[in-house]
Parts: sequence; structure tokens; C-alpha cells
Amino acid sequence: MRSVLPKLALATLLLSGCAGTPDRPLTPARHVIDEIERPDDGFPSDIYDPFEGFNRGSYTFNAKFDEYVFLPVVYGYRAVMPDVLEDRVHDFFSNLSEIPTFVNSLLQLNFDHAGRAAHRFLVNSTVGLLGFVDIATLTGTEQEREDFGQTLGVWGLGEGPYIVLPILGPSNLRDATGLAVTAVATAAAVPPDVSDTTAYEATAYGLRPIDTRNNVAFRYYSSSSPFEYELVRLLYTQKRQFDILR
Amino acid sequence: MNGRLVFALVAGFSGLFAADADAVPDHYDYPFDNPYVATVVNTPPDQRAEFKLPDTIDEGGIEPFAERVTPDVFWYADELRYLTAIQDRPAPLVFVISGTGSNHKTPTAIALASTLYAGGAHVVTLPSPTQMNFIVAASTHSRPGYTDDDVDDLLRVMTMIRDDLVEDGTRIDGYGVTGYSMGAFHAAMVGERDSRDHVFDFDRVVLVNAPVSLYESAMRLDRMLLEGIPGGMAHFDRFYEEFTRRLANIYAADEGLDFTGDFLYRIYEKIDGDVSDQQLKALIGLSFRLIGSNLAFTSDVMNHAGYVVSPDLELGVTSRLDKYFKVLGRLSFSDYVEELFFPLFEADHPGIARQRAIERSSLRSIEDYMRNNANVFLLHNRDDIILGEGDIPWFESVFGGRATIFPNGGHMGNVYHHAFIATFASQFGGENGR
Repeated sequence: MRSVLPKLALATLLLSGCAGTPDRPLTPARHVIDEIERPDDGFPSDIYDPFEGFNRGSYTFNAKFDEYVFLPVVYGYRAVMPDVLEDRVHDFFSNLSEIPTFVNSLLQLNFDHAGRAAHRFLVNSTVGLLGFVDIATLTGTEQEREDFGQTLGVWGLGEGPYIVLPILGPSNLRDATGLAVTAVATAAAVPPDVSDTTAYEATAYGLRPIDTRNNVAFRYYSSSSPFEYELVRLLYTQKRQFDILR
Repeated sequence: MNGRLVFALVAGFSGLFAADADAVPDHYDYPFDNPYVATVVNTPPDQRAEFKLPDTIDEGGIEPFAERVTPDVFWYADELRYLTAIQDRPAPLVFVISGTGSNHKTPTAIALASTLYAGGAHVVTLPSPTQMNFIVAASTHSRPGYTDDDVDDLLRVMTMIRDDLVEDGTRIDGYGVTGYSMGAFHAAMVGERDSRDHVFDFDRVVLVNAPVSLYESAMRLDRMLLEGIPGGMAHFDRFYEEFTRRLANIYAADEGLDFTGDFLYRIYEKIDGDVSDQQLKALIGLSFRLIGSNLAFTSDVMNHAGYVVSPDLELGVTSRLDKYFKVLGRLSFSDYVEELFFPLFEADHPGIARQRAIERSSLRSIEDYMRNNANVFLLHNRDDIILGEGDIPWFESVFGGRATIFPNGGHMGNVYHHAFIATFASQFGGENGR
């Protein structure tokens, strides 16, 4: 191992895939990836992530945004809102989400989920006092969520590269497209004399994201693992695959 | 005084006094006699004690080495994080040390802290010296495993936090230390050192599911993976992918990334109990291997040791890390000890023999302290899988009436059980304290 050649060769291999190129060859580590036999169809835990540099930057940005902006707002919301009201707000937004679930279930020809979403929406919007109380779950009709990303997946569109969206978090090209289409469709569906009001904007872009964050227990860098990015990437991808099959 | 009174009340309420601590409570009905099932599945929801999160719970951070430059890849771990729960009256301060590779807010640490807080104590939870944040921010050599160094690091952190609390007006009238799993080992070692140095003079030291020898327990856990993984280690990545897939199937975004407790319980329910010991061993071995990977990677980068990362490389915020993760998955605990830990250890302590380091990784090295101090207590399970033959009888002979050994529970499987928690609370109360 005193010779320079194997070191060079190893260093070159090590460097493939690294972001920066240093000026001189690196001393190889004692154990490198090449000592592991790579399965013919790749490592099962690998996720297609060609924009990893950007994604990791985005993940870092999101962690900081979460710590300095999002979570303080969420904690403030929690401090001023009685728990009962938090739940009512959550049920209200949850009820609104039945609309995209209904539409996407139809697009997927999943009439069971469509029927369930319609039933839940009707019950909760009436008996559940405009959706503020989730009566449907109490009476045994559990919620299913379907979005346009899932619809695209059901019709065979691959997930494409993994993408960490700024603020919104883990996604992939297909799911991000789904989000964009949904946003455009929602903007078209809501009449301008509603969507242009301050109340609508405060609710859609203020209260709703706060409610969503308030109901997600995930905290950045709490996994005690330096490989949290990899873990989240794998779990997100597997979770979406599972949702599409369902 | 007030705090001790509440402690005594909790102890009295549960019908247990420290003098009877060796007796397993009558109402102990933990169901799993298979220790591997117990370890994975944990406590069934209907047998759990009620835990009320302290209303004063808060997260703090300190930088024991203010001059240290944190590598970019660990930018988020630059200060040591801990939880505090402070009473508004004078009370004893109890430190809770987490298990191997775990941070200061694991469900177990929070459950123990909540129990102590409900009993009237101020509580501080700490990560394990083997946890990433600790290694980066609070470890002198950033290569945990040599007990004397780890105790130095722990005591430095505990003293700093105590001083901060006092400065903020916390009134402290006594000290305790506890920990679970490897954290129990560290609590014992901290207690022993302090019995000579008298910085805290702990009134209570309580060990929950302590290993006897860290080295032997680690080897035991490592073997579980080697013996349990289908098709052998060449299939490690596939096995890992299947494991996470199973997690993902029942994962809901509103649960956070916590692979303990209910989560595993629900996996177990989903597979309908139809799972072999070999599979369970592989699962336990896998989680140990993942913890080991975190530790080894962090130590390696902090020391430029060249174990899996080139010693010349400065990893940054956007560096790819998956290849290191894959390599580490294939390296055993003894690889780590021989090729990363001991070379670093010998560079720091050229005069100390390896054998000495291994001896100090065993509670047997402080047998006299545990035997002769009436304020040191033990909670354990007879079938704990991290122990070897002879360990439980040794504990019984050393602790005598200060040990409570439950008949089942595996490793930490019964920690949320109401009888286990009641015993834990009683060991912090009773008459033998102070």
C-alpha cells in the first residue's frame, strides 16, 4: 500500500460522486464501498437522487426554517389556542381535504375511497358543523387521503428523481408535479371574490400550514443519526409506494 | 424536603418501600415470556403506567468546548442538547442518562423523567456519551468507550448544567443519577467516581437494565445480527431495505421518526406474532448495527481516523454519505473496536493497556462501590438478552435487597409497565436515601 498507484485508483473511485474535487488525491479510508459486492440491480436501499447536492442544501434550509420560523410560530399558536379549538381547526382543514381526495379517487377509479370521501364530507359538513367536528371518524368511517401525485402513480407514472422541496420537504418529481397541478386547480376552482380576501389568504397560507405542522411530530436532526437524510429519503419513497398500492 | 416528601408519598401509594425493593410487586403481569419478543414489542398499551409530561419541560444547550470547530457535516450538533424539568420549589436534581447511541429525548428517557418529576424532583435528561451529539459537542476525544474518559465528559456536562440551573434560580437540595441500558452503566460509573470526588454526593443512584460488561453485551448483540440475517451479511442492504419498508408501511407522518414503543408493537401485530426468534434477533441486531454505524462514522470524522472516510476529506453540508452508511453496515463491532477505537485510544493514552480499557468497561470493576453503598439500586429483568450467564446471580449477590429483578421483560421491554415504573419511583423514595 506504499505505492501511489493503488492509492490513486482508490481515491479516484472514492471521489466519484463527491461534490467537490480536491487538488490532490485523497488517502483512501481503511474500508471503502468497493469492498462490498454491488448487487446486479443496484443496492435495494438506493433511491434515484441525481440532485442530491441541491436536496441536501434544501434539507438543511428546511431544518433551519423549521427551527427559527415554523416551529416558533407553531408553539405560539399552541400557547394561545385552547386544545379544543386546535382540534376544531384541524378537523376543519381535514374536512376540506376530502375534496381533492374525492376527485383523485375518481381519477384513480377507486370508487370505494371516493364514496368514503363523499360520505365523510357530507356528514362532517352538516352534522359535523361545517367540518369543525369529525363525526365521520367517530361513527366509523376512517379517512383515506388521495392526492394527484398518487393518481399519477396509480396510472403508472414513475416517481422520478427524489426532490427536497424548500419548506414543503421530501418529494419527488411526480409528487411535486402533483402538488403544482393541485395548486393551479385549486386557484381555478375557488372564485376570486373569495380567494382575494384577506381572510382566505390568512387561512390558506397561514393557519393551514400551521395546523399541518402542528400535527406532524417529525423534528429535524432528532434521529441521533448522521444518516438522517438517507433514512428520510428511503422512508418517504417507500411510504409513497405503499400509498399508491393501497 | 418537599420533594422528598412527594417521593415518599409515591412510594407509599404504590405500596412499596425501599426496604422491600427486592420483592417483585404482586401486580406484575407483563405478558411476554420470550425475551426477544419483549425487547422488540415493549409494553402493551393497557399495561403502561400513565406518564404526564412535566409542564416545565424545556430544551437546553451547552458548549463544553467553546473553542471547538464543529465539522460542517455535523453543523446541527454543535451544542449538547438536554432536557430540563424544574420544580418551583427546592427539590433534589436527578440526571437521567440515555442508552446506547440515544439522545436526551427518547421516549424512555422522557418516561423516567416524567416519573421523577411527578415524584417531586428536578430532572435533567442527557444523551448517551455514545450518541452523535455528545461525541461531536461534549466528548474530549470524540471516541467514546473508555469509561474513565466518558465519566469525565459526563461529569463536566452535569456540572455545567447544574451551575446554569442554579444561576437561573433553581433551588437544589440533593442529587440523584439514573440511566437505562448503557446509561445505567454510566450512572453507576458516575456515582462511583463521585463517591471519591464529592462533587454531587448523590443521594440515589438507580440502574435500569444495566449491562455488566459493555464489551460482552456488544459482542452478544452483534452476533444476533450475524446469526439472524437471512442469507448472511451479503444480504445486509436487502434486509435493511425490507426493514424500513415494513416501517414505511405503517408509518404516518404525524408520528415522527421514532422506531420504538408503539411503532414496533404495531409492526409485530401486523405480522401477527408469526415471527421466529431468529427474525427478532436479526431485528435487534440490526438496530444495534445502525447505532454502531452512527457512532463509528461520527468518531471517524471527528478524529480524521480514516476508518471509512478518507482522513483528508472534509465532509460538508451537501456531501453524499450513503456509501459510508453501506460500508458501516457490513463492519462488525469487533472491526470497530480493533480498527477505530483502540488505535485512537492508544494515541490518547499510550500508557494504558487495552486489557485495562476492557476491564473498565465492566461493572465488575466497581463491585465494591455497588456492594457497599446503600444508596445504589438496581432494576433488572431475569431474561435480559444483553446479559450473560452468571450476570444476574452476580447482581443479586452485589446488590442484595437493593435489587429488584423482574421475572421477564427482556431488555427494556417492560420499562413502561406500571409495576416497573412504580418500583423505579420507589427506589428514588424510601428511607435509605440521603
